[in-house]
Amino acid sequence: MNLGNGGWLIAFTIVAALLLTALNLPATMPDWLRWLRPDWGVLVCCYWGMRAPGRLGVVWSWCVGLFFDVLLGEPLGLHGIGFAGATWIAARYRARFAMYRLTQQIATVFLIAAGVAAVKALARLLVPDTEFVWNQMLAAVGAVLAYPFLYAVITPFAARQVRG
Amino acid sequence: MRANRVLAALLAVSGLAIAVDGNTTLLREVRFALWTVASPLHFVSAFAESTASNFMRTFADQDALRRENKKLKQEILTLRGVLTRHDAVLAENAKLRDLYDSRERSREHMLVAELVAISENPLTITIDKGRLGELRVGHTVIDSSGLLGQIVETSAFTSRVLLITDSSHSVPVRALRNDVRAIATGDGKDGLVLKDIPATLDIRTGDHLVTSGLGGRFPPGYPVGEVDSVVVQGDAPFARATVRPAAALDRSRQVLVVQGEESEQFPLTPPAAVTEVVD
Repeated sequence: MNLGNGGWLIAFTIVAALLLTALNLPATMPDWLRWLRPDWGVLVCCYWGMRAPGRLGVVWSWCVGLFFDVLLGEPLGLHGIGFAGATWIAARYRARFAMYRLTQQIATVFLIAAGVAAVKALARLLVPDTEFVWNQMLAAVGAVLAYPFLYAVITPFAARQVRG
Repeated sequence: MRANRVLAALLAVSGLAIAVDGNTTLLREVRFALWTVASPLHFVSAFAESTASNFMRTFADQDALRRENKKLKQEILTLRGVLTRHDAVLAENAKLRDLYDSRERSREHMLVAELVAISENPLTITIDKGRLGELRVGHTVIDSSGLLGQIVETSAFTSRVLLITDSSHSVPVRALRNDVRAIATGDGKDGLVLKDIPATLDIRTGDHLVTSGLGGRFPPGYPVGEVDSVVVQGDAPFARATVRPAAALDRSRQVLVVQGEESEQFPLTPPAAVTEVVD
């Protein structure tokens, strides 16, 4: 990944996503709110996949996923599947998404995040003693709440710095 | 078309990697390298958390702090009392060992570590010491009240501890009251269970369970928990007991890592030698 032409901003958002993932939630937080925690990596991949698909490709997204795996103690490759898939879909239908209003983009992000959550939950079944937990799908609802925030924070910088 | 082929290849590699990493330790060193690079993020997040907590504390009212201070002083006093008794028990134990003509068991070497991250699937915590601090996979982790879990993965600066409440974790235990032995398995939430124990086994609500040391993975004698309930369904030959963990699994910020004994472990006397002495 080239850090010139705003590549540093893409790298920064990835590190920020890793940091948000590593942050501990307060012990007093109710369980249902914990399940709503979005997959920040998927959101970042969706955003850059739509905005500048040439800059964060599927291979880089997959590699970024490895760091999420080790931070969360998950088997290697689990996040890579989701990130590479999200980046590919966002880039493949970029022209269509570019015409969408933010609300339509959010709906698209919900579908991608739900798909990624389902694929991750199924991929986890490759590990012994693991069950399919439906609550994992709530991360897609969290993504809907988090995406407008991410969009509002990154877009002013991305518009000036990143050339696709 | 090229992107499609790359994506298909990555999905295949991911599936293979998940299956290999989830079932074997072949990729342990790859994980070590990646986690060593990423582990500073745990420290940044822990720093942010403690800064926020300190900031909130400056707004805590003086009365609450005074109450907390008084409570902590009382706790220190109680612990000192217990420690005095502990010293007496140690001395008595040494005398008894002399009587049995056996070598005194060495003290375990321990290291204090601090929690930097929590993960819920599987139930693990991450602590701020790793391979550079001589921590290894398999080391036992305790808090001031009892057994927390064991180290399952290390980076150079951090280690991941699988909690005893995770459903993939089991620990051999014995009841303090009557030395009955069982296996305590995590229930995947906040407790443990003794599954499929004989219905006739003398385990009661309120029994204190400690590590038995069988299997050699956990050192013996650390509190594991207290039996909460024992359920026998109808005439079934097996019962199921639930156990409340002794350790403060959701509150401990500072933990102790038991790095094994400072000198060689006391060797077990072979049965033949015992028979000889008795004869």
